Amino acid sequence: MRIADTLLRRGHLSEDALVDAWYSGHHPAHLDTCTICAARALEVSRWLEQTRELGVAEADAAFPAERLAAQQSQILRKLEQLDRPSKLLSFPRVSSEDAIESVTHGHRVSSRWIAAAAAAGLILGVIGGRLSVWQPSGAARSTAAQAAPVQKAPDTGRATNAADLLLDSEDVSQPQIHSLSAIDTLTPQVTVARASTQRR
Amino acid sequence: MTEVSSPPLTTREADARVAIDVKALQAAGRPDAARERFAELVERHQRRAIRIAFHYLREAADADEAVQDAFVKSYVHLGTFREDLPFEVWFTRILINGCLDRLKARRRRERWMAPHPTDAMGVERDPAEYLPSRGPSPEDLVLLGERREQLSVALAKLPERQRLIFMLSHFDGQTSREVSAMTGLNESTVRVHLFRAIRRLRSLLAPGASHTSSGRTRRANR
Repeated sequence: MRIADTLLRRGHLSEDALVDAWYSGHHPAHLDTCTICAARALEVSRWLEQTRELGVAEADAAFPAERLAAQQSQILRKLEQLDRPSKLLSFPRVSSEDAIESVTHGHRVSSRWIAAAAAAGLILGVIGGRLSVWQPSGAARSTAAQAAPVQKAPDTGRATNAADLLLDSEDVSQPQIHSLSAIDTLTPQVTVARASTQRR
Repeated sequence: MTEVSSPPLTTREADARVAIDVKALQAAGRPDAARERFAELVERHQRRAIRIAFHYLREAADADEAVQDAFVKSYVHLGTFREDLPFEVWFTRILINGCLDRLKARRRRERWMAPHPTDAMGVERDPAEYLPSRGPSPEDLVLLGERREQLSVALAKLPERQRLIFMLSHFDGQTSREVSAMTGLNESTVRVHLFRAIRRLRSLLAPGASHTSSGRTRRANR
């Protein structure tokens, strides 16, 4: 018997001691001699048994055998999913370059199509370039013929290079601008400059 | 010629043997056989696991999930299981930790979702009081149902640690030493919490104590 029980409870057992006796299965000798404590021990043990029954019954009522079986199958299904390697969807075979290309561009384009498009672009570019070179020169000639047919007629044989053309233009423009005639007389003519360089 | 039969295995020995077998099968790359063997452990510990989880979490759906998670975790981490410790103790630790995580998550949810219900006097009431009765009960079981309800409410009013220790000791029948190993608490601390829990429950479940003890319980819970 504990000292506290002897001093504080006139030798009677505390409730904790009775509970401890019930859990441990140990039978205190005091219970054989004290009817009060024996009655208390009986009451405590009844209460403990009842609460255990109630608690267990409550849980068992919430989980009947069917629910436990369902739970067990769910557990095993989860374990099966864990053990099974992840399922991969099969894709058509691609080369590593194509795979990289598809990753970087977001979509996959056949290399043949790219080559065909490049060739078509090149051909169109060449044809377009030719057309653009030919068309303006033809057009320029026709407009020049329309604009100054009188001045162009006598010197067609000479106008072979850029200097001759410039000379022609100077000859043509000279009489037309009267306000600049004074400046024109002061500046040396191209023909004069050329003649002087040839003489040297 | 007489056959020498080996003595029947105790539950702990049987658990340890199954656990060793499952580990070996997992290592050998035979998952089907490992699962089949592990199912024995599930069957043996499922009932007590669901009782613990149900009383700890006080919600059937949560308890169901907690038990499933605990079994899956124990299967995955069986490699870390040491045979010197009973499987029951090791598994219960996993289960309790899982339950604790769920309780924390629930508290966080409740903090944001809805305030605790209060009665007409503005006093906070325990959500466990609103628990529906567990299935339809016939007239002759009405009294039993009421007592279950009272116990449920009283258990919900216990502090978490006291409730856990009471559950493991009382409903699951574990000794103080086993509870100590499961919870990581000192054995004497386990006993102190158990006695406190019983004293509290007895006062809560005493006739006429349901209304008068609520204020005192709230103060003690803080």
